[in-house]
Amino acid sequence: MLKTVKVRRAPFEIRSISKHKVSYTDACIDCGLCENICPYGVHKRLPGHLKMDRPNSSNCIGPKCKENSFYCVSLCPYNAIRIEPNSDYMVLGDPIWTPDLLLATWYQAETGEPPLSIEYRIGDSGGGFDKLRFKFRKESSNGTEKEHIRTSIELNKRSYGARIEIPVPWYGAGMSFGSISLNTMLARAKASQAWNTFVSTGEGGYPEQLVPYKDHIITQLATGQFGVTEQTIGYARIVEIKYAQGAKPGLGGHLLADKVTPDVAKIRESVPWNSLFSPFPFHSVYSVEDHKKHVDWIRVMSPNPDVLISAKVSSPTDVEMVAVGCYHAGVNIFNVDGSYGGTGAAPDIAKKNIAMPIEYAIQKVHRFLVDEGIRDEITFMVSGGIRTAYDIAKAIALGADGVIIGTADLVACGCTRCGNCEAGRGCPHGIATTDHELVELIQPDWGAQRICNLYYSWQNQLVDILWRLGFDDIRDLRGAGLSEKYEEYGGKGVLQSG
Amino acid sequence: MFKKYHIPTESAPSKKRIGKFLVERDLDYCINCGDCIKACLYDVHKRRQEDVRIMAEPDSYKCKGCFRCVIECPQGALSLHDNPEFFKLGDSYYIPKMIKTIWNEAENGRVPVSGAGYRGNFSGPRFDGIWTDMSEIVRPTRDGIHGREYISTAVDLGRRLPYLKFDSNKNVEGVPPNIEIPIPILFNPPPHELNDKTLQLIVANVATKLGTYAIIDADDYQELCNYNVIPRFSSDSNLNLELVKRAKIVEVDYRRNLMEDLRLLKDSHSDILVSIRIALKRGLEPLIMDLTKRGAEIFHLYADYQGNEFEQKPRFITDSLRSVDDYIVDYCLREQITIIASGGIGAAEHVPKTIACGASVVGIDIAYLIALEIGQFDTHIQRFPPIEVTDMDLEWGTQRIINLMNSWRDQLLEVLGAMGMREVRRLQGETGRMIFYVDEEKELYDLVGL
Ligand code: SF4
Ligand code: SF4
Ligand code: SF4
Ligand code: SF4
Repeated sequence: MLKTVKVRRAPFEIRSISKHKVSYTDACIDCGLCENICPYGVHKRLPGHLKMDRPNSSNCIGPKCKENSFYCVSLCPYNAIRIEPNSDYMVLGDPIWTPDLLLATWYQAETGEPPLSIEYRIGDSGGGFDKLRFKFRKESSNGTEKEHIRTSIELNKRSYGARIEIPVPWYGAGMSFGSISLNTMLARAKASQAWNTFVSTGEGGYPEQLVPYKDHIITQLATGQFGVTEQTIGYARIVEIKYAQGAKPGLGGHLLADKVTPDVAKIRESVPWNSLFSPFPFHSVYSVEDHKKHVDWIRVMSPNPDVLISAKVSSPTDVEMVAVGCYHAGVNIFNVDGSYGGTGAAPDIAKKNIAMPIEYAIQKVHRFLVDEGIRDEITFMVSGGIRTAYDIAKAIALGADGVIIGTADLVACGCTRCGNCEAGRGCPHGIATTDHELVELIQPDWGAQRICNLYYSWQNQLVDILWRLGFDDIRDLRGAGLSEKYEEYGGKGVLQSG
Repeated sequence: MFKKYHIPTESAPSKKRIGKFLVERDLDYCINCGDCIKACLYDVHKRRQEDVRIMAEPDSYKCKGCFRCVIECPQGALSLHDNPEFFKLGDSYYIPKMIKTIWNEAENGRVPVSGAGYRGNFSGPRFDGIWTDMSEIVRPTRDGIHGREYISTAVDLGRRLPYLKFDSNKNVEGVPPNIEIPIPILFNPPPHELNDKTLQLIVANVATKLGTYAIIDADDYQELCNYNVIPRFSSDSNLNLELVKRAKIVEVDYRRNLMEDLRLLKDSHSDILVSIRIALKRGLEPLIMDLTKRGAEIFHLYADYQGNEFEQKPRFITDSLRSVDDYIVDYCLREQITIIASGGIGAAEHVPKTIACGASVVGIDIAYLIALEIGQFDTHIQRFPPIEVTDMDLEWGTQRIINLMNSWRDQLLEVLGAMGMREVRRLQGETGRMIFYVDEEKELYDLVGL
């Protein structure tokens, strides 16, 4: 296992939201006993102060601390300590990104390791990854044997194109300039460089501040073709063609009715104050043959003869046919973006209802490619709802080579998944916005360190998962989640429903 | 020239102002520093008007739950809570989230759009166990920017000929009466408990403005005959041919000598369309077939307010419709009749899903009541609080429902556009373009093993 990245603590400068709320009642006489009792530094009295400071609830492990000899609640001589569920925690999150997953991701981004008392592996959506469990064979080891476990994957399996290997089975999803801030883009680019992996530009162009990281940046070409030039294609070792996006499959960009002023409406020949849709699909691509032309065109145009081409599609009923089409068009990487993936702005009806969740699409594509005899010529990456190291492992166990990460990077930078990215000035936390005041809330180096820390924690967990399943290479995990009956697809039955 | 169908929306703000969150400021900790005023982008925090040294009560209705103020308050004095009023809304079927969505749609008429990915359960019962398809590559006929705007949401009410016949003058012979409505949505009458003149007037008004129809009790027809309404004769009322002579469509509950009544109607008004209203149950297929063969043109198959069949062990409306649809498709008669389906249609996505399962048109009821801000009700035990519709601003109510319909139509366009379909008529019965949870789960867990 390759470890290139160092963990450095990168805490929020501000208070973060906690699962439990610790408070003192009026009975507290500020004796300060609890400060010495709690090993997690919840209780503090600032030097020179008489009164106890506000407790640092984020560090408290909650009522389950009862089992410990140091449980402050029962040791306080005045019975003045209260530990209750925090109302903020109850409001936070949703079934997909549960409050625990948000807190756990923030914790990993800060410390580089998974939290002690918070669920960091699965969410609560009742299906998909949240309903799949690994059938582990061994319990955790002391660590020495784990050093030889490999987590790297190859991004190109074709006979042509550059040989690119990334040390972890993921890279960063396209999030455009405009949908996220330049600082957030820079944070992601720096993290990709540190980890020797990649991140995609998204469809909003290639800001020049990213050029120093160009070896780790994928240039995305989408239907709007904003800011795509020969130069930006030339920068890239990988060019990604985005046909569709999971969160809004089959829909183009979306211009809110608010922004369709009479002038805009006039140019677009539409009705003022009515929502408008920018193009879907590519108007140069109406068939697989056109798709191939598209791919060839990029290869010809790029000064880099070894450029890899990736095609990003959504998950329709015939997704496996689309995969074969992409293979024949000559792409190196085939990326399916599932319907529960992230977005800067999309109609809620599309996010919830259109196209299938990635969990269903993976095995369909994997098996079809195997049956067609082309599975080992194409790299199959999946995205759209990959939140944790366990999701990554499950996606691979269902048949993917690797995954693409979007929302988790943002959560590492402090995203609360509130969904306000598109409203008014954009993200109130300065992540998905272009508001000049708000963008200052995220400093690129701090953000990069937090993303690096999260990745560090994930890689350790992947190694642990592999070890407990008895694998020493993540490539062997591919398809291993299918039952033994399906050995031809890699089936070893390491998954079960639970 | 082609005239684009357009629904005029206009803001019609909420009167109840029930938000999802409650923002609480702990006055023991707050030092009135005002940091939260800057932190909140949505104007929740303000100083008191009468004394600017002190913070005013937060305007929780505007809170979008971003947590920024909670995180940034130097005193940790702020916290967010679930608003209990919000969670009291609706019932087990019309859950608070659905109600809030309808309220937003009725307020501004837009497609609800948000940032970040999907935030609900992986799947769910009923409509939530169905996903709609999309097309990666669509034909050039769907021309980019304008394409979506030219997708048609019009549907026909009436019988369609299997083929055309021409007379000696090359005119088409014997075309049955037929009415095209621009959106595949009709309005059901409100529950009896709520029957109220103003409410009826609002719904009739909306239907007329939109070019679709509202179904009303035949007893009320006299007063509303200038609107687009469909008088309905319930099973215990006799046909009054004189009363409905100006009507274009009437609805007749299924009854014993139905076909005779139909003949009477047709004899006195040759152009009238008759919809046969039948409660959804198991085993309706042969009856529908029989009536179709005997010339029926429109069926209104209605489920209860939660979309269930009227049975001990009911199937959901989508399953029920699928089996009816399969049956008549087998006899090659599906294209000749119109099926209106109603019961449980409470969100924009329910419209295309119901149509794909076999309906031609859907009928809505509780959804428009919710748009009028009916909040606490229970469709299971039929408990509806009296809404004070007599006092209700007629214009406000009309605009709210019109807004809702514009939003739903735009969302229907999204779904059709994603599938590469140019008209909603083609969606009818297209189960092959739907993804069903039960099928996908089975496929996945057959492979993974349990
Ligand atoms: S309950 Fe345990 S972890 Fe929490 S503050 Fe008390 S001693 Fe510390
Ligand atoms: S914090 Fe909210 S607004 Fe900001 S990126 Fe996350 S979801 Fe979007
Ligand atoms: S930021 Fe906190 S302390 Fe300052 S005014 Fe707001 S609630 Fe009070
Ligand atoms: S949580 Fe966000 S939206 Fe709500 S009051 Fe605080 S800053 Fe404003």
